[in-house]
Amino acid sequence: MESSLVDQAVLGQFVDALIGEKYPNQPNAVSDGARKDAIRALDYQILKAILGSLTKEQGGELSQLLKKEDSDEATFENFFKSHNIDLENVIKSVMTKFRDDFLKGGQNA
Amino acid sequence: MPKNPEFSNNSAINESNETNENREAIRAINQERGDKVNDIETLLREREALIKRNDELKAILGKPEAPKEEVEVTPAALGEQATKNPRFKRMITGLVIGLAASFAVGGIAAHGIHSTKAAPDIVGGGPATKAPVMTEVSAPSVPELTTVSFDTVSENRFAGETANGRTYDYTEYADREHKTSYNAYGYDYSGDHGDIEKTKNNINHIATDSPEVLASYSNRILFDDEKEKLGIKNMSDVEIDNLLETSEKGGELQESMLTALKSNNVIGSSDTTKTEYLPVEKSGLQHTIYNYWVDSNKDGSMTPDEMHIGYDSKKRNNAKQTILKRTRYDANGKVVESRQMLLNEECGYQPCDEKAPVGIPQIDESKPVPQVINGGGPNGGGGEDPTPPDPDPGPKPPDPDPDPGPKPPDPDPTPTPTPTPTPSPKPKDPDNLGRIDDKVNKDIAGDDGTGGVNPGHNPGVSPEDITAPPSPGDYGGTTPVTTPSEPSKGGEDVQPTNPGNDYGDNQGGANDGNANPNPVQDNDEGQDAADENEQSTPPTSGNDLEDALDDIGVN
Repeated sequence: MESSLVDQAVLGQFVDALIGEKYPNQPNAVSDGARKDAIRALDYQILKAILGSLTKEQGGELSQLLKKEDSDEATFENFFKSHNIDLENVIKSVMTKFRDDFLKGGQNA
Repeated sequence: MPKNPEFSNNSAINESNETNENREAIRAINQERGDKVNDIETLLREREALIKRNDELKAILGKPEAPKEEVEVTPAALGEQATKNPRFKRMITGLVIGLAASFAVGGIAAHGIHSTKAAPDIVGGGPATKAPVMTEVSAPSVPELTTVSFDTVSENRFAGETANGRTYDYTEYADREHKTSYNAYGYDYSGDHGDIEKTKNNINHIATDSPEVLASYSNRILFDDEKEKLGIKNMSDVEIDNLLETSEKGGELQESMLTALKSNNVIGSSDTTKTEYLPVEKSGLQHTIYNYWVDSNKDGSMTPDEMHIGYDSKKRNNAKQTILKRTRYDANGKVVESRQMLLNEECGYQPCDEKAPVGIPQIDESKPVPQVINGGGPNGGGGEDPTPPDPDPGPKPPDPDPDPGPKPPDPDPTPTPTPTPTPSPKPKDPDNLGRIDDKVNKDIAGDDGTGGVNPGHNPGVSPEDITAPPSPGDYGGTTPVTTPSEPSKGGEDVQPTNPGNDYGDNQGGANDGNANPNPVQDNDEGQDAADENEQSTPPTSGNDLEDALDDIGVN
């Protein structure tokens, strides 16, 4: 099983909602493979955006936190806050772009 | 001093004196002791004060920090750590849930994943809320060790060799880093526009990597005798692709086709062939093919058996494209025949056709006629019929005039398809075909081809699709006028050919007679009107084209 950052069921529902918006009343508009690919792509883009918002030193710091057993969600939240990284905004930008690309495009022939 | 009785009183005095001295000494000792005790007490007090002061200072200054370890971690390693830490993942997932709801696309909350805090208002789009703590969603399972790489995707599941020897490499199609849209057809090569050497190398490598592209290139650019030797004469793109898949020696056929494409010598002939790459910029409606992937075995791999050829229509606006032209000369240098194809650089050099692809309509006359996708309508071109389909339209009489010129407005808005019960080319995997529908076709018509996401949707071909064969003048807007193609910019010199030989007019071979006598002129108004009604069309076949044209009396 390929590891992912975001719970796949959560991303799956987001993608399904986009599919439903783009192809209303067409349950078979998108194949299973394409749907999975979309979920994987979105997960990857979110991961990359988050890690891309860090400097090298911050990446090392996060790495240390990730290794610790007692790092909880608040620890990670505080980490990003302490470095003035608006994590919510970072993820929102990725999801917005993904949504826009998905809804506006046809085949890029 | 011995005691002297005569001095007994002195002894008493002396004893008294000694006692006094002792007492003095004792007093002195005590005094000294007391002083010392006092000193000790003082010292103790001072010590306590110092200790207290030390504690205060410690509290103020804090514990000295341990020196920070400088850890170098690669993005890949960090990504792997991130995807393996369940608490970090939970935090991110919580943020995503909150954000998804704010997009008002139905919202995660509406689908049953709840949080301990009130779900945001998703009707009409509520404000983004702070990510709630997830309590009702099961914790993500610990993932297997997988390295996340920010490099270009290049895995075994996108490249390899099939059982019959075809080689492929779909990395370019799988790689999301360099795409302009989710389902883009390869990379955007418009940056190499005008660089003939790079263009040539790019096209060769794409034809090598994708058997589907090779099939579509071969169909357009090989001469008839080359096709005949390869056994692909009079076949459509899809049929050639199918042959590559089903032939026992598909790998050898692929190799032969590549050799023919790259060679400047006609197979088995002493004639010479020249290949030219002419950079152009094109506007207007184009009919294009693309690759689309269906993950039939659901393993995330891309194989040629899962890659299919689809057809689409796009309105271009100064799109950077390349005309690849092959011209055959005889021993005297006279042009014998030529072939050319138009390739869209933004989309991995996809072949485009400026004239409408020839359709192979398949009509089951026993069934009611569904909505006509192509043909009819006041514009003379593809039309979306707003009226309910006529259950018994009857056959349309064949057009006796092969060159009717501009088509007059149709007083009867109810479209009637022309019955031509010839079989359509069979796609590779009929279970994965989709139907052309209004919404998708509107999307396609409105797309200017510069981007977009469509995860795997394919208009495909369905036996139930009805398409009337386009008659000359279709897609011609309101006033089709013959016009030469745009002059090439910065390309190699074009060998002299027959006057008026533009892109849409191949010489010699089976393509003769198929040239549209009224090629499309860039006509924005007409194009806009045609685009409004333009629909995707099914794939074509050379044999069926001739049969269809025979049926309507064109040939």
